[in-house]
Amino acid sequence: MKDVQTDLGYTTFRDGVRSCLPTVLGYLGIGFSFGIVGINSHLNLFEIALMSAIVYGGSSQFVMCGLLLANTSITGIVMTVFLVNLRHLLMSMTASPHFREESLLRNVSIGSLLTDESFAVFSTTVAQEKYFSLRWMEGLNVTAYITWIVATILGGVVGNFITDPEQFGLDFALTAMFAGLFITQFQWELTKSQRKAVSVVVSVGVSLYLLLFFVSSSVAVIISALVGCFVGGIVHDNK
Amino acid sequence: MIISKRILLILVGSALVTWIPRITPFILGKMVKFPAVVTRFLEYLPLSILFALLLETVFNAKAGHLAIPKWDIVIALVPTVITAVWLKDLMKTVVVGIVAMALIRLVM
Repeated sequence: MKDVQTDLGYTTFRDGVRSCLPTVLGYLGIGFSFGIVGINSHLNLFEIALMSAIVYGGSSQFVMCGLLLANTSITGIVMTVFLVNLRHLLMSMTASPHFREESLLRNVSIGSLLTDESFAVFSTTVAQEKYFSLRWMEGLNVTAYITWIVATILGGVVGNFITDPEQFGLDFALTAMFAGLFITQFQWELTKSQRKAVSVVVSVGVSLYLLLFFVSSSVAVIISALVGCFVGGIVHDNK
Repeated sequence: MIISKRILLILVGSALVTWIPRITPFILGKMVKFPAVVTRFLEYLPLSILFALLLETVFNAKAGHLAIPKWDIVIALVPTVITAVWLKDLMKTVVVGIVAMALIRLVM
């Protein structure tokens, strides 16, 4: 990608930082609530920071706190985290072809820091048919990573005084961020093919609701996302 | 600050099972090209997975039971979605969402 002409605003590391900024507030809200929940789940600041740095997955970290409090076995917790985070496999499969020309090390570093939110920002950029550089992607990823770690530590610091982040509506930052990211993506897909976009969303919604009866919500997310991909792939374009 | 052995094992194990699915496609993608049909279907992954993740946060789910909407989240989503569509600004969307939710929890 180094030799490819990139679009203005998608070239430098700084551009990546700028592209990440709209999601920063969401990360802060969620990370802050996580820090509070972590402290109240008897984790110390070091454990909170370490978890954010090496697991780096919002929902899985909340789930881990719940399981730690419930005294779940080590294997039980690790298995659950695996399932909750398995969706990254699909996101990495989608993102990786765009970085084929880069070195293995760079590919691994991009994959290591891929999150729902950075994937969403990346996908919107792809949907807009913008050309971006590796440095841009790195700026996006690293900004999110640092913000997340700092936010969870800050949450941990105040967590001794606040026990319930929900009363401030902070937990809703996750839903609000997904809503905003989804709507941005949806609007782009609508401009390409209304029929496809609507079919995909309806099939995901119906399958997710039905699947929640049979499997855990993290597995339901993966299967319903695959159903959405399948429906999108077979519905003919009809602008 | 000290870390218990149990927590350390959990963190390292969880980090590994999270990291491997994250990086494997990037490593494989260097070696082989994914079949065109896979790429074609994955084109709809961003839309699909974002909607699935959004809906997941809306429902209280337990296998064997019909999922029940969390009504406070559903109500807070109304101003949030309106802001997202109207202002097309993620940061404002998150602020409106958090404030709306705090107000809802105040009265509910």
